[in-house]
Amino acid sequence: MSLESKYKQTYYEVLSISHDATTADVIDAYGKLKLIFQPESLATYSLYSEDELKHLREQIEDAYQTLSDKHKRFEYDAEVNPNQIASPKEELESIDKPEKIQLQPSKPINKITMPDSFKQISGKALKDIRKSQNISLKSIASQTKVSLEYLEAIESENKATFPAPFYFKSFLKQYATAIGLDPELVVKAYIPLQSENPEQPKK
Amino acid sequence: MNNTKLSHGKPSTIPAAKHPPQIWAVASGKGGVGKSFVSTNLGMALAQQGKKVVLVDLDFGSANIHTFLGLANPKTTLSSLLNQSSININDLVEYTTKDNLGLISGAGDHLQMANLAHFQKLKIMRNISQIEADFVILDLGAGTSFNTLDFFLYADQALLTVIPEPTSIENAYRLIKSLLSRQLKGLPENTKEIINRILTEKQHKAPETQTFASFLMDLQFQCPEYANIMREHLKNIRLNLIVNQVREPADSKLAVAMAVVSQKHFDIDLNVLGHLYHDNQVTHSLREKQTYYHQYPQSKNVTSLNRIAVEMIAELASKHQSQTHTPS
Repeated sequence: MSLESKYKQTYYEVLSISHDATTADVIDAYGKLKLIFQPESLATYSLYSEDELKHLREQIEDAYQTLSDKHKRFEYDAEVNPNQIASPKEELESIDKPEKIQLQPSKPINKITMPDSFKQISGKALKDIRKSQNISLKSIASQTKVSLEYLEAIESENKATFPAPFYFKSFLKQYATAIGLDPELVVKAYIPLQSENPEQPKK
Repeated sequence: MNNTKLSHGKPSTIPAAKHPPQIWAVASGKGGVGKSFVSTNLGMALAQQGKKVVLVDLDFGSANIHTFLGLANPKTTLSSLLNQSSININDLVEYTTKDNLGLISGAGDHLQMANLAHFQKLKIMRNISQIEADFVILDLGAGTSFNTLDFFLYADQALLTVIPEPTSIENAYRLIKSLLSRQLKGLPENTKEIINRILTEKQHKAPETQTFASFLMDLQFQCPEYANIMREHLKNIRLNLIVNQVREPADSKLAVAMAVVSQKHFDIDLNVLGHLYHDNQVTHSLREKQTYYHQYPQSKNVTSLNRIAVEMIAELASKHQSQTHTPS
């Protein structure tokens, strides 16, 4: 049996932070790990070779460079779909608990700027972005007055429940705004709509 | 003033504890890092909080807990337990002037005790759990002998003592590796072999470090049931850490840093209890046959020890609470 590791740690695991960590959390975790894994550090003594430590420092550096930058972090999140496992439980909780968001309707959202190269986004990716913003579907529903059923359809890409295209685009825009994304870009990039629009500009 | 006169044979007036004792084992990978200082002073701090404490000196060969307590050479030792068939371990406890702080010595037992047979080890363990006390603190020998490892794993809580020196850190990690390997001794032979290779070998080929933690992650990925069994086994290892003899401010961060590294490397929680400062008065107290804890009650170290004792008591209380709340 090979001793080589097959499991690749995510940047979040490298920094030992959760997926909803703020930029301040990222910087804090990076600062601590940088000290711990610096050359001559006592805490790692005898556990790693020089090469291994060098590699670990590079990993920490890469993770920091990506996660501390909102653009890069967004791209990275969309790529690795980090919330796959955690999502069902969170959703249950958000249904059971009374909605707190109504008490503070003007809760600030982190605006996410999408790169120009951004062409496609899935319902799953939208859901992950919403989770990373720590916003529940219910709070979007109460804020936008779009029914929960349609919001769920956006994330699950369940076309059977989609309303007429005109309304659907409007709902999608409101949803996108609520999670801090550019509504126009999202409507263009949302995959289920692309397949339905043959007039989409071709490459 | 001599406030630690030996009062051997005097029965304790403190009522017997309602629960089996909470057993703490104190060990260090390397000798000379103040392990016995930590165990005796924690014992005194716990007694100061009104708990009944019995220290058991299992550092066979270099047992000197009695000296830290300011006691003369003990009259009874643990070996009586092995030599006499009908003896109650509670009769072996010698009390200090504080009748809630006692000692079972291992001094003078070198020849017999250093090479315990398996059944003797089990007999001692069985008896230790019958000591009438709130806390039993086992002072274990340095190093990674099976004796030390087994008592360390047997205890409810294991306390690792290190000092901010490379040799001490190296041996502390070696102790953790030995504990993992010992705890997983029931696994199939080929799995054990892989684990031991991961724990001991350095891989020069791959830049990615193969650690015990990444091994567990691989296993979780490929064979989750098996990984869960292993995690279930490892849950029994409750490791705590005290960094002793801190001289420079930077070293006070060592404990937390080691906890991060243990998590990353071994996937093990290392609970940081705190750090104690280097203090020349420790040696002075020993020479004067006084206890540091009572001679310097205002020192930073005694303040830290008291805080740690309070945390240990709170942890125990929450454990008892969760036990009584389970439906019967």
